[in-house]
This record gives sequence, C-alpha cells and structure tokens, in this order.
Amino acid sequence: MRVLPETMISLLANNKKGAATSPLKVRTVSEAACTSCHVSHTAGGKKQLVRFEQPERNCVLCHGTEGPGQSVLADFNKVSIHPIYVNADSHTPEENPVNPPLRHVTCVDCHNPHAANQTPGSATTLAGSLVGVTGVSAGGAVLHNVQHEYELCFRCHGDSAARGPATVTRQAVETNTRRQFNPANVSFHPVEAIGKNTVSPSLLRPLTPSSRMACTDCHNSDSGTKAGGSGANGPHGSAYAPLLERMLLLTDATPYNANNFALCFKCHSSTVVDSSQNNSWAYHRQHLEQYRAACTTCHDSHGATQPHLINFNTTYVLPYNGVIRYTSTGLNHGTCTLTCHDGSGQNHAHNAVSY
Amino acid sequence: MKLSASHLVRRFAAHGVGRVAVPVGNAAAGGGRLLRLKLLAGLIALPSLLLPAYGQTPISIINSDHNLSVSSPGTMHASSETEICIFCHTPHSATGDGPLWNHQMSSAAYQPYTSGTLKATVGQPNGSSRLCLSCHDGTVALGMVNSRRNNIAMNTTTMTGVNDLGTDLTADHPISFVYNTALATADGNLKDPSTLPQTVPLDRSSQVQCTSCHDPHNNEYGDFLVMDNTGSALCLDDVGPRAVRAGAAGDDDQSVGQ
Repeated sequence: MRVLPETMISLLANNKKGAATSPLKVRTVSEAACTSCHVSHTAGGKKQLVRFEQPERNCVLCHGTEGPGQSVLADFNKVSIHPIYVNADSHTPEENPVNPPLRHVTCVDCHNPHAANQTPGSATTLAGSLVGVTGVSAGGAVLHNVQHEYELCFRCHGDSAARGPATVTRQAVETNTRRQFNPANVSFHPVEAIGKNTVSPSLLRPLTPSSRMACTDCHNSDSGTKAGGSGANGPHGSAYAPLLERMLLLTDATPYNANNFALCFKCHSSTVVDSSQNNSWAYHRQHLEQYRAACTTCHDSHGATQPHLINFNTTYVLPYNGVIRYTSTGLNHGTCTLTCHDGSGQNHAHNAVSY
Repeated sequence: MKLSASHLVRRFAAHGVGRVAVPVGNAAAGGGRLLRLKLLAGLIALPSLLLPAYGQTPISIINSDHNLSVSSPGTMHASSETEICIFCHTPHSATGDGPLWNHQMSSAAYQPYTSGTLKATVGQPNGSSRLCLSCHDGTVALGMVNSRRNNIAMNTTTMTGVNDLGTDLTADHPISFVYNTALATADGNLKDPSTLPQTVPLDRSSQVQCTSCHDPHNNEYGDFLVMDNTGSALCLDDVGPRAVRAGAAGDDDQSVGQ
C-alpha cells in the first residue's frame, strides 16, 4: 500500500491510539504503522523493504526538519558527529555487530525503530530511545538487548578493531573504552560502578561520590535540552569535539577561562577546583591560571592506572630521568615525577615533588 | 461470450449481499487459490442495485484499474475493446495456466527478493503469482490474449508506472515461498500460519502468493488489498507482535536492523 509522506505524517500526528493512552506522540512504529517506513513494492532500500535506499532518509522523514518527530538533522552537520553518512548503506542486520566489514554508524546501529519509546534515561537506566539494540557487556559479551547505555557505546568504542585513535596522547595509552571504565582500574569515571573516591569536594549537588553517570552525560548534543538548548539530546553531533555536550579545551597555553572547561565544570564546581584553598587540591589554580594547563593535561576522563584519573598528556608532560608518575599521598596530596612543558612556555622539572 | 458493463454491475453489486469463498483447483502447478463467487441471490429482490449510481461502488471490477476495457476508469485501457474479463479469462481457448486463463504468460527470469535475515526459501515466482506477473512484470503486451488472433489494441503496449514491477523483484515483498510453522519458528517474528485470518490466504502448497495480500477482483480497500490495511492490520496479521514488542527480554530481534 503506497502512503505518501504527507499521508504518513498525518497518520503519525493523528495517532489517536497513542494520544489516548500516552502523552507520547508516537510510542512505537507498530502504532504508526509499518507503511511509514516499509513499502511492499518497489522499495528504495530493497532489503527489509525500507522506503529509501539511503538508510537515514527512512528516519529523517519523521525526525528531520519537516516531520512530526524532533529533528536531529542539524546535529549531523556539526563539527563533531557520529558520521551517519559514511559507509551507511553498508549496514546489514546480520553483520558482525563489533567488527562489521566497513566501520559505519547508521541510525539503526543505535536505535531500534520497532522497540524505541520516549522514556527518558538516567545515569543507570537505559533511555527508551535505546531499547532493543545490540551492544557489548562490561565483560565483553555481545548483548542483543542492552540494559545499560554504555553497553551500546562499547560495541564500537570498546573491542572493535577499527575504533578510532586516542584524542589526547597519553603516558598510558588505552583506546578501548570498555577497559577504561573497568571498575578494577585504579580510577575511573563512575559509568559502570560507583567511583573510588569517598570524598569529592568539587561535585555539585545533588551529585555525591556515590553518584553514577552515563556516557551521554558528557558525549551529547551541544544544542539539546541537557546542554540548555531546545534541540534533541543524544550524541548525534556537537560543535565541541569529541562530541561533547559542552566546551572542553584540550590544549594548554590559552589564558584561563572557566568557560573553556565548561564540560568538567558541569559536575565539578569551578570555584572549588579553581582555587588555592586546600578544599580540593591547592595547586589547581596555579596549574590552570599560571601554567595555563588544560584539565586533560593531567586527567584522563575515562579511566586511569593512577589515582584521580591522572594519565598525563605527553604533548606537555614528559618523563623526568625516565620516570613519569603520580602518587597519591592522602586526601588532596600527592607527588609528581615528571618534566612539564607548561602553557606559559617554561619547563618545570618535578622530582617527586610533593604537594 | 460477451458481458456488457451492465451485466457486470449486476454481477458485482451482489457482492454486498453475500459471498462464499470456495477453494477451486486449477491446472497450474501449485496454482490453487480462492476464487470468490459472487452470489446473485437477492438481485431480483433488490432492483435498486441496478441503478447506475450503485455501479460506482468500489467493490466493482468495472470501476477499478483491473477493468482494462475501453470503459476503464484507469490510465491503461483498450482503444475500443468493450469486454472486461477477456484480458485475464476466456471461456474457450484458455492457456491452461490458471482458471480459464487467457493472458499470454511471461517467460521472464526473475530476480527474487533476498536479504540477510530472510529465512524463507524464495525462488522463481510460481502458482497464481505468475498470472499476475504476466501483466505486472511489464514484458508482455497488455492486450496479448490467447483467445484473439491479434493483440487487443491498447493505449499503452505494456504495463507502465508504479504497477510495473519489472523482473527485478528484489525490492518487492517475497512471494512464492512456503509459509509453514517451521518458517515462523525460524524467523521468530512471523505468526504461525495456522493463526492467519482467512482473509490472508496461502495457496494449496502453503505458499504466499500475490493473492495473499491482493484480491484482483475486489478493490474495496484500495490497491486490491484483501483487507483494510489501516494501522497496517494486513501486515501485522502476518508479522506478529514480537517484532514490535518494546524491550522484550531475550527477544533476539535480528530483523529489526541491529
């Protein structure tokens, strides 16, 4: 049965069944009807009889600028995106989910249009938009129905052989996010489990050291509601690489401005961090303002083999006599052995300097 | 045998009075299907049915695109031929390919539908689907019938437009495959065929054919569908709720696109 796009949009917008039982515009494709996306004859996409050959076109019919769904199209024109236009038509439902023949990401790699709903997600509960998709468990097993958001992300950013290189060059190189977030690590952002610190002075309420977080707390659209905008949430695209919800300067030497580290300061108070007081680490202000160091010059956001997510950026931090090491010596105290080529153009040798 | 338009109005106007679905065997291999007989009973008692206005009823073949005669409401039709049934059926000189079949059959080799998740075995079209494709693959002249020495003159030689499926059927719903419990089990998203409504018939060989979704004699629902497809009711009669059940635990739904 042929359904013109106008007819289909009307069908979705006037989905009485959905409207009567739920505040959601469209809950599932079953209510919106198969012919929204599939056609019985002369299907542009042939396999699975989807309407269009270019896979994303089947989705943006509704989720583009003219459809009844929230448009995500503009996000894919931003600087940092999930590249849905690259090798997209190579996707097949039966492909190896971790190592497909061509690395790609199309809409249905992350969304199951037959199962998705609009239930919001949280740090520990899967968003309805991600229900029924394939991922990889924390232990490395393929899951056909992820229960946690990170399991979906691990599919391509964990063990996948063609995963991208590290954004920041570090003393300890690890590009497998599944290993980075392993709770057995010395330190990690609390995605899979509650973090190691029992005290974290900079955390903004209501966050506590027992709080958890999701990948999309950092990797998200910069124009969605979570970023203070009005667009769709989700890691579709952002002006801030690598697909970050807020600005995060990854390089040294720029005069300090808290706005450059807006992503970190979303959860960690800038007034607590950028301070000479001993309420977090007394030398944060010196490093940020005098040495013009970026947060990421010392901290590795995902996980680290040293405490406090310390994994130095080797563009700026080099060994001292062959050693580059941070050792915690108690709350807000530690020692560093390294040579820092700081953002003010000076070299600072640290021989187990104690802070 | 000639049937005038008014004859057919009477014949199909009776559709609303009552009809019986009778399985009728035919000479085509695996080509058995349901042929609906429209009861004439009640016609005499209902003379109003003969009014021209009732001839507009969508259940009449006369007012459907399958009327290829000069009186067709459609875009493809004969230049002067007034007979309506002759394009498919003839009481004499039938081809033997189907029920009193008259249209020249296609000799095309088809590319059947395929996908990585397809569990059915889909080969060359067979059974009644070949009857449909004798026009709808676009390779045989619409007016090429067995009972006439010359082709019936048409305003277009062969099928054109969206109804011309061509011989590449890779973008069309699979047909001519056995739909049995084993298939439903293997696929996981298909209903067991024993639960299908009678409006979605399989043929005598338990195969899905064009006629599983389309009734060439009845355009009551548009596109000659066998039932109302609002809310994709026709599709969901075959493809069960598992495919669309949100977040069902253990539902390894590979057909969804993951």
